[in-house]
Amino acid sequence: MKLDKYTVGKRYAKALFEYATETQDASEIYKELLALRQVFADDPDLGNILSDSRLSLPDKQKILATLKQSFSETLQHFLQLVFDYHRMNDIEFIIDEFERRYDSVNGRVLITATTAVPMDDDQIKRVGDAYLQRFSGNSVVVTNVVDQSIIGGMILQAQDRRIDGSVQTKLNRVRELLAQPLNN
Amino acid sequence: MSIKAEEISALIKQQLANYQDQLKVEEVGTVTYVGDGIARAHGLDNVMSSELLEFSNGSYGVAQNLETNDVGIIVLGKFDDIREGDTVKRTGRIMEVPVGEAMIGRVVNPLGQPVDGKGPIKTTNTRPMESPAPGVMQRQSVSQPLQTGLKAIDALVPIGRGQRELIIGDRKTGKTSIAIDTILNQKGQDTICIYVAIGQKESTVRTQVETLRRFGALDYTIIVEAGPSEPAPMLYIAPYAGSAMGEEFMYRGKHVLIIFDDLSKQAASYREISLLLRRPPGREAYPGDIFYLHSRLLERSAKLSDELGGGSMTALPIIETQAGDNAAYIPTNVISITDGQIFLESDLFYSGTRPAMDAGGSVSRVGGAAQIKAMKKVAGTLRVDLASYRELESFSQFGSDLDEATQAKLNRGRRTVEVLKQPLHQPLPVEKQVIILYALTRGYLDSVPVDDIQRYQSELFDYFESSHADLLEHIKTTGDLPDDKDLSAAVKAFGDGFVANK
Repeated sequence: MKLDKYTVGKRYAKALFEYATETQDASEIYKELLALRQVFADDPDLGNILSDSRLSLPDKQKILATLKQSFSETLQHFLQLVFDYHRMNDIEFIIDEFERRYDSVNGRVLITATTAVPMDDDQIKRVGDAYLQRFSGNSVVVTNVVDQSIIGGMILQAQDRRIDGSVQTKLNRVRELLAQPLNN
Repeated sequence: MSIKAEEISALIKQQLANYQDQLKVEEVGTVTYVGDGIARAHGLDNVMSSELLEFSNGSYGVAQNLETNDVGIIVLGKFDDIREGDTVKRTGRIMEVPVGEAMIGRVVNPLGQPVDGKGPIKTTNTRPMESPAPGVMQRQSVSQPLQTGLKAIDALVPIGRGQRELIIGDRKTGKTSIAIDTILNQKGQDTICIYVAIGQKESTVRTQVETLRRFGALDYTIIVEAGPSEPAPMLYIAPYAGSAMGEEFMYRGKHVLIIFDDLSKQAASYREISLLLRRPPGREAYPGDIFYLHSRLLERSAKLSDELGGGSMTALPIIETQAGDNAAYIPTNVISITDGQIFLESDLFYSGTRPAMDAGGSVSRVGGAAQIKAMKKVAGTLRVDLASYRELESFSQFGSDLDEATQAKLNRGRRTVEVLKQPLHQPLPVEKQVIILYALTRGYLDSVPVDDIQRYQSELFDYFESSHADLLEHIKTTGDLPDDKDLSAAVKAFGDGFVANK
């Protein structure tokens, strides 16, 4: 059976992360990976084009050469390896998994805070501090996502943990209670 | 009609009384695949096996496969508006169904929600759908009879309370009829009946419900229904839901009869789920734990020890065979789990022997201990009579010159078969069964023409009810035969007055 993208991501990320921590500072690699992720985010089809058969091999190699030239030697080797094994379309999962490993070693928590109106810097800082007080972790990175459909309040999500304090959810709960038959 | 604003607002207040504004830390995952009644979700790292999960559209699911990257979930209910990327939330609970007295007389789906349009079910009790079966010390051996009201079964394959007796046969051989007749016969026996219809046509279930209602059997019956139009997970959980409802009564010291109609369809739906969850297929494409599927279900039927109240749950699982193939995978599995089986044959059914029970193949492994003494005395020779009749029947077709002993055996056999016939939905109380079987085994029927036997039987019952009610009462209360002289005199007196049709 074909390996799914998560399994692929885990394997490659594990190898890269362990190699990075053994030989040098993993944070350098991490920074480079963030840049790489930005490249892939800017051009969503890049991963596919490098792994499917739309282009001939020399053409793909040319793109790869352009892509990797600005990165460190370690990452250049890594990109070549991923390319050789036709896994370029899974590179985003590899980066995600690398980030997860990097965070769990450094005790950093990524938080997505969904609100109806944009939060200012002070609010973001207070959300992060409040999270650290209640749960384990050394540092937080809070990303603010604006979604008007939640009406008000905030939904906080850190990995699999979610705290839903949105007005929309509360309204739904009231609606459920009103829809229940009366017990008498 | 005047609408009172205060009343309405009071009711709304009452409904909102339970509203609590508190934040909960939830564990969520992301749906990565959905289709065919199953979903896969990424994340949910701490989820437990069989835990109930809630999708963002309000549907519930059960975690089945816990794998390295994702969780395989069976969806109970609507799955067509779940999308890839939706969140799925842990609930920390396992599957439960509402139980209790309020369920009686209702038709519910496997989640315990009413489907009979008679309004909500007012019960607050629930039980987990999957629960461990009673252990060794919590049980006692089967000792009380469960009368089915069918002569062929009560005489030849008696069923005891707490027994598991399989009903097996091809399609259209009267499997469901036996089950329904058994429910009808529990009237006034202080037994709660649960009829679990799995994958039965909705129109058929409707007919059964009407039958039960017409005979007043709905007053002590719960019907759990999972129709063929529902997704496979509902069919898979239906018997467990029924068992949970039965256990509630059993652990309160009551007697329960539960019918699974039928387990072959449940096995097929479990096969469907397993294949979709990518569990490796085995024989007949069933998954590896197909035996456990039925063994853990049927093991929950038991006769509890006196310390636990002495309640019981008797199970009558039904299995449909294909072209009489009892050696297929599911039939052999369930035969080995149950305490006996009732084989129904289409040949017998079409030749008019109904119930179409094959006396040679049908057995009851523990029910003999539960049979009342009177029945044991009159039914002792029946099996042998029938066996020698079947043997001689084929043999006698070659020639007509038969000695007297053989003739007598053939005669007795023909009458035995005739006596064991019984029309639909007419269960007989055990004392009447004893009387007619007494007349048969003591030879009082040998001179009655075969065509007159049904009439003889009904007139005999009328005669006993009017003239010898004391004898019937004696059998009913003591469970033993009355004095042989009295009984034979009564039967003989009736026989002398009986005029055969010419």
